[in-house]
Amino acid sequence: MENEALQIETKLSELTYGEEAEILGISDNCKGEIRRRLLDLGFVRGTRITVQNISPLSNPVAYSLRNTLIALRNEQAELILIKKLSDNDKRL
Amino acid sequence: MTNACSTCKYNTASDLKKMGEQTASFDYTIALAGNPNTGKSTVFNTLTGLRQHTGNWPGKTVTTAQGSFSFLDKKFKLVDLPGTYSLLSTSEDEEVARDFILFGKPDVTIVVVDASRLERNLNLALQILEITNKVVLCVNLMDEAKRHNIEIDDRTLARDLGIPVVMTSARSNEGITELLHAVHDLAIGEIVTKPYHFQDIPRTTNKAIEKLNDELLKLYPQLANSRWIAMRLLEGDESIIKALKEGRLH
Repeated sequence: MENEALQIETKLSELTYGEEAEILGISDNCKGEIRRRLLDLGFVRGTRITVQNISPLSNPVAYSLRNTLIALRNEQAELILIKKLSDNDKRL
Repeated sequence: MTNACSTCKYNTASDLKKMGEQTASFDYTIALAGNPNTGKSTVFNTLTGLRQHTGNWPGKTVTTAQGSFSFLDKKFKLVDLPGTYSLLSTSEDEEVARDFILFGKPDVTIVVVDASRLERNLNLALQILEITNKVVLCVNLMDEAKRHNIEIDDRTLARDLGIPVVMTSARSNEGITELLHAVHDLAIGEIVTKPYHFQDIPRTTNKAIEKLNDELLKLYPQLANSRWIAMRLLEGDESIIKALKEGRLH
């Protein structure tokens, strides 16, 4: 585990344009159908994710993951836990 | 129209008769399932000769379209389902697809997947394999995948999933004959599949599933997919609870 500082868990809503992150999971506060839906759309642990497009009011945001664009509102992006990747991690 | 090709025995595509909307009598029912925007309707049109509207956006097919074709002297009814990401979390149009696969009991289900987004598409394919053994995986949009230099190891995929895998570009008719053979052989029972099933269900969860499954089978001895339904009930899936209450499950 190099770059300890970058292992800090944060929310997907904190990811900015140009950064890359790995999904750690979905918050325990998110249950039932919404949780299932997010999993089905590919928001599963270990998935690499980037910000692709930001709408004029910066909500929703389109994310790129597993070769597809998925737009999420901030309230959903807040439920997804990520760790931002350093340049070192990205090469792995 | 008779020409050398249409009577040649090596041209197996000539065994396909597109029968449009005649769905009165048929030997087998085939369902077309898949994620949104994978080309299900294009496959549908290629097989039936119909011109079901195709479009490059998700949510285009919101109800089922039906058509038919015959191949090697068997008549097939083909049902084009709305695109869905999952059988588990469903919006209204996705429920149409889920209910048909679950309660419509198709003889064969063709799962159409996008070759360029295979990984995410396999989510649905694996869920369908939990419900039915008679599945053909149609890896469509191969022309697009090739343009992106994506290669697909169809033999390994078929072995790992335990079902026939056919690579197609429905738009240009590529692989359609192979798809027809796989569907035909599976329908008449010439191919027997051994679908991959999820392995890692925790023991306590498994116990609960077994218990509920036994209860369900006591109430409905004819119930197909009782184990799968037991799992959904444990999850609190509202639409399955409703279907059970309304007696649509058997």
